[in-house]
Amino acid sequence: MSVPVITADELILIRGGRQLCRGCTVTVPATELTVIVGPNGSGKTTLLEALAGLREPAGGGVRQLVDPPFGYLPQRPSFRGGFTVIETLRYYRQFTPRGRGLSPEDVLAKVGLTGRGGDPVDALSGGMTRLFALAVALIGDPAVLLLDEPMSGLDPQMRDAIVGILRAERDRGRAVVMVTHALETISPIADHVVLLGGDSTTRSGPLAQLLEETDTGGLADLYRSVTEWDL
Amino acid sequence: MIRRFSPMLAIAGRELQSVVATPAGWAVIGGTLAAVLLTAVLSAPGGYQATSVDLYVMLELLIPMVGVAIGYRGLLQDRLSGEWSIHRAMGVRPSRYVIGALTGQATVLGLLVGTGTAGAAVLVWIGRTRPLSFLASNPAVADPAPMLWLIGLSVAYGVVIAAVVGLLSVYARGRRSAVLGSVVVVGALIVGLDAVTIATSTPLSVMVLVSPGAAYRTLVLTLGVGLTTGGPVLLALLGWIGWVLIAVALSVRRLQAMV
Repeated sequence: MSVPVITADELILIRGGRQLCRGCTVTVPATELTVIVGPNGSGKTTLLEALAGLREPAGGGVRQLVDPPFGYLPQRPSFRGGFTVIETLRYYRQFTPRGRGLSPEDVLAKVGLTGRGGDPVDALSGGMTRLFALAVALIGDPAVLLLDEPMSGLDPQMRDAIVGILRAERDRGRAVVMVTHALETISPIADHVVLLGGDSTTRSGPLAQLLEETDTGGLADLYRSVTEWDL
Repeated sequence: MIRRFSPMLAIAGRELQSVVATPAGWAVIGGTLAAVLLTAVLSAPGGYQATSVDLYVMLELLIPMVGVAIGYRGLLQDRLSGEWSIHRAMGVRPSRYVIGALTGQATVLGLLVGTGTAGAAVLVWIGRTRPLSFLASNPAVADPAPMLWLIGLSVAYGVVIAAVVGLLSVYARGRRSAVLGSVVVVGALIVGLDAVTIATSTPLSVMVLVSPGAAYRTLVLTLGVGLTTGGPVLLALLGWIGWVLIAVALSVRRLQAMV
């Protein structure tokens, strides 16, 4: 496993008065694609927020071993109206350290939104907004990308495009952490898995190792086994 | 040093652009300028001092109304849409975010009130050749200083209001509660606190500390128009500073604790 960029030790996460993660220990390796999977309500988003430094855990701690900016894609992204796509990207680029960051035009090309720079952000469709949110996450050329269901609501072609983008980012040495239910789609490029059980327990490790341990054939099978699994 | 301030400037610039980017924002701009200039037109023949008195009475209510209109959704919108999370993941600190947003909204308020009041001063200047009235025989009438004070104090009052509205925006759960909360709280701040302090015969020194509206009135009448002397100017300024510091500190604390 490559060097870690984020570590979480003995995390206790509580949301809405409910304990979602009890003593979770997670390591996010650099240059790998980590997938957080689990049933609805198991705390995937809450864990991602904690790893991004957006949520204080009730116990344990998160250590970010690289400096921001991190690229973050929220679960239901939307952007302030009255601005165009290119204006919003230029705005977020200002928060990246000098000399870092990608050009808005390059990022739009990367996510397949070339020619949409002049569109108002509030006129984009749901799928386009998600693609644009991925562009915002990429604008600072971050070492770590934390993405909450980046493929939700996208057609198969767009999903494939996102898989290509994430693979390219991973191959460029970026750490990618994502919550997703698109297991069949992401399975071929996933390196590392964090499994959240409904009983607030966690198991994580390299995908190949977990598949071997559970005698399952892929990420989807692994996910299906979660509910039956004594984590 | 510049790098330290650049995130705040970026956020402030975005707040400014947000106002001019929507028809509703232009409606607020037009309405504010129209209200200030109409008041000035009606009172300009009285000279700078009389116009300042007429304007401050109107501005004491107008500034909070405009503050709510442009500020109620700034931080709320970013929080609900997930944009605050994006900012924070990019390393933007809550304090810089709050101060940046406050700077932007206060700048909008300041530009609006400043432009409107400067326009009013021009109207007074244009009307200076009219036959002298009783009031115009007073040397103070020809002195624009009261209006300059009024502009400066109105901008500062706008900062206080923007800070309070920003705080409400951070705590609101949705758009409706943000609007209602802002109207109720700012109304209570301006009218309610005055009413309570008057009803309980609270000394002016305490009144200006707790009520931003009373502080504005005292400062304008004492420093600007010069109709009163010996007003608790320092306490009024301290009251304003206190409101801004408390509102910013609570906003930052709230944002630190939430996604």
